[in-house]
Amino acid sequence: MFRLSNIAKRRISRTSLASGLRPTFYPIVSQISRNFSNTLFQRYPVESINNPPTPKPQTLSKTATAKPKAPTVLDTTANLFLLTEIFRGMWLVLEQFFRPPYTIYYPYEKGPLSPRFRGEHALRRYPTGEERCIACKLCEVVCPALAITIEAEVRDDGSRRTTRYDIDMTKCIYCGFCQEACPVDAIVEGPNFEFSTETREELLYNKEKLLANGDKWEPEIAKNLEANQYYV
Amino acid sequence: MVKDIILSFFMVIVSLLNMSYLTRTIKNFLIIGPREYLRQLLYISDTKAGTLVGIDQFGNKYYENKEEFYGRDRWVDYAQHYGDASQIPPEWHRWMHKISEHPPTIDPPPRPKYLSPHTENLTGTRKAFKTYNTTAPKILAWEPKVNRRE
Repeated sequence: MFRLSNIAKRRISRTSLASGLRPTFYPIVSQISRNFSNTLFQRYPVESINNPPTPKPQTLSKTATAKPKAPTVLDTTANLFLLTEIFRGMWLVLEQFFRPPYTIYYPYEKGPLSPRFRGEHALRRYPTGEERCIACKLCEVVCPALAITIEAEVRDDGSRRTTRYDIDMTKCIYCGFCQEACPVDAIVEGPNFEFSTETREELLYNKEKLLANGDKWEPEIAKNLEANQYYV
Repeated sequence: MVKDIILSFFMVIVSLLNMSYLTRTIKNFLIIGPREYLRQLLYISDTKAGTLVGIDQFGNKYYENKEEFYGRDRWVDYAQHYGDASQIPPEWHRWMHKISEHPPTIDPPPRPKYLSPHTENLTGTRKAFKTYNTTAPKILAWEPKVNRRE
């Protein structure tokens, strides 16, 4: 079948023959890495690697052994005036036009995420509804961006809780050290990354906002932690 | 209204230019029909057909077609005209991002009793989060009191 793309291929292969030797085979990547060389060599079957057969002298076709000819004036002029490069490029674009687009059409289609994805922070609760955070301040200490500020007090029932848990999301670098430092799995970086805001002020999260995030995203956070339980 | 019509007409033209190879488009068109075809051109500017996996509490519809490219094989049809990615609730968020293989209709996540209803990203509205202090003031300002003259 006649295809315009064949012309393009043929032209490229002819230019690659400038060395005068046609490569009849190409080394596969594993062989290159094994031999630390990227020269062309005979590819053996796997069983005969230890005792390779003696390579036969290669019989090359006439077109392969022929010395490469420099393009004549006619060739150059034809290429110039018939716009062959332009048409080859346009054909490439036309081929691409009829292929399905690779672009993920956000927000209707979304890319894959890991269950360990570190997105928007959330403070979790126990199944009873009691907040987990005990104000040990480990996350505040470990935070490399100094984004977390905690103040603690004794609650009326005698338990130690935070009165202030602020995260400056504009400082946060999403390293995940806070959730790794937390002994009670209270602060986590949830799967949400669609929390962009119009003003900077909205990103200064306080304790209530973080708890609200936890209440909203707990189904997914719990499932993601469950998926990772074998690796922590 | 007129602006909307002109805009949608323009988008249909753009989408027609944007379509992928013909057999896929025609095949999907025959499955979904002309009405859904035009609707899809307006929103996802492509012609896709898939199985309806589920509908969430807001009316967003989730579709899947494994014959599409990886990353384009699951998609959502938002209930609202201005669909935003934050309108996807956490259960379906998990499925949309391929964190889980199964949708929440098959593999339902836990629903704790303190779970709050899902809200979209409310920035730019009156309900946007505005930060505030959660502690009692540490410095009590002196409130001068003037004794009554006698």
